[in-house]
Amino acid sequence: MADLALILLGALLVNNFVLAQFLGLCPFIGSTGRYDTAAAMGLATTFVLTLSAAASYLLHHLLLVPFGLEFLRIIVFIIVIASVVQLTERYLRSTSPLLHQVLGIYLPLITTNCAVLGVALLALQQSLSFAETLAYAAGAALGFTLVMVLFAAIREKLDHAAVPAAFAGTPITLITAGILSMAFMGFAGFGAP
Amino acid sequence: MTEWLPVVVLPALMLVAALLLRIAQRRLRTDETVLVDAVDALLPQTQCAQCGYPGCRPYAEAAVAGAPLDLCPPGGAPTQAALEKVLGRSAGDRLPTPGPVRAVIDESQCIGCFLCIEACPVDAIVGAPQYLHTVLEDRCTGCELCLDPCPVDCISLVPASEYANTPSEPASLIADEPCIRCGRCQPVCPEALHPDVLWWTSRARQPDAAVDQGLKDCIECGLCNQVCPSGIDLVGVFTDAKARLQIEADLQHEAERSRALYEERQQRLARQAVLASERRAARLRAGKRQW
Repeated sequence: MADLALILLGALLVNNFVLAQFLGLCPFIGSTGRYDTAAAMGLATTFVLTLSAAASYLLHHLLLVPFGLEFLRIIVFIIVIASVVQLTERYLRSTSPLLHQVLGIYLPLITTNCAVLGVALLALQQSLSFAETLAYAAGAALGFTLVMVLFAAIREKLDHAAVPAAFAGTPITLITAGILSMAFMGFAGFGAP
Repeated sequence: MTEWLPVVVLPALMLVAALLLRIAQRRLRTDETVLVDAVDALLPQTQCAQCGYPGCRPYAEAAVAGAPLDLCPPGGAPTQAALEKVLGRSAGDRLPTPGPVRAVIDESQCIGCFLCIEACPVDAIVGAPQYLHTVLEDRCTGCELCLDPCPVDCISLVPASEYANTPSEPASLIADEPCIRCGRCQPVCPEALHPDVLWWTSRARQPDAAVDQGLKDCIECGLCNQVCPSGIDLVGVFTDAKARLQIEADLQHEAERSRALYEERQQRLARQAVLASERRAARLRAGKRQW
């Protein structure tokens, strides 16, 4: 149990996928303009990430390994991720069409979010068990959501700031992302023996 | 045997995924009316049909289905921007922003022909055949539908008097930011607001954030202006932001009333049609010749 908590916290903070491993930067920059959008995007990604990591684990160990087809894992994982994203999109469209419109192109783009494929592959690489994979995926997903929400809140505040003309817009956004990443470096080494 | 395995497994997997998605699609029917309602609420409800659709609701349905978003002249640029935001696509050039207008009848020329009254979608023109007509200003939406039918061209559009004093861009919002974030305005505020934060949010065009920060609680006492070392006209900005919010709320209220009037009129016309056909049927039953 302590192991699971450690894996979850490790993926959430210490090895945060966005700020420490630099995966999933596209939605991190693209849909953090507004706080609500970022939170919704984080939750949608959380759902996709956890579900696809679990499905990928099961497919890998129940289908690919018995038949000796491990070399197919990337393409199989991508099929899984694309299906789960489509499912999420359908669900959002039927329950909350407005949110679906606001997220727009970034929703189908979760398919190409490298953090999603990264979690499935990294969990495999570290030969985690099923429960550990779930904890790892949940930690990664919550870490992604946390960073999205933090960054969106900072960007809303940035709108009020007197930014020099040369830095206005994207430059100050990237500098802020860098500083936030440095702050997360402070977690490095936590949980190490 | 084994070299055939990937060729079988991969398509099988895709087939399963496709089947699952198909089932999900069947189960999760998209409810477009929610989106249509949201789009309809953004339209000005003038029911003017200048977009080429018979009213605001039909245009909302068409816009959700993919019609261009720059078809609403009464809404102008603000409505177009709001539509683009909700529907997530852009529509090229912005429409010009109109001021609200009202129809006015030149009563010295009106011949009492009743044609404009039949054309008005919100029952804003009163009068009877052979008598003078006049426009109820607070009901009129400025839709222009009465202009064409008038045989003597006695109807004209004038800027709506109640919006004549719409504030223009205040100077202090455009100027470079002189606030040094000293916070001296905070302790003097009798409403315990943060005038500096209110000022930043108003300046960044975030009216929702400004309202969250208590913009509407500002009593415009002017104490923050007095202590500001940069001499910023904080209260001027707050007054202006509040006026904008009020105008927005007024227009929203007006749109809701126009929608209600339009729907009432549609119902009344339907009732009249039913009554007329009943009378015709009764006459036929009585065996009277109709002409």
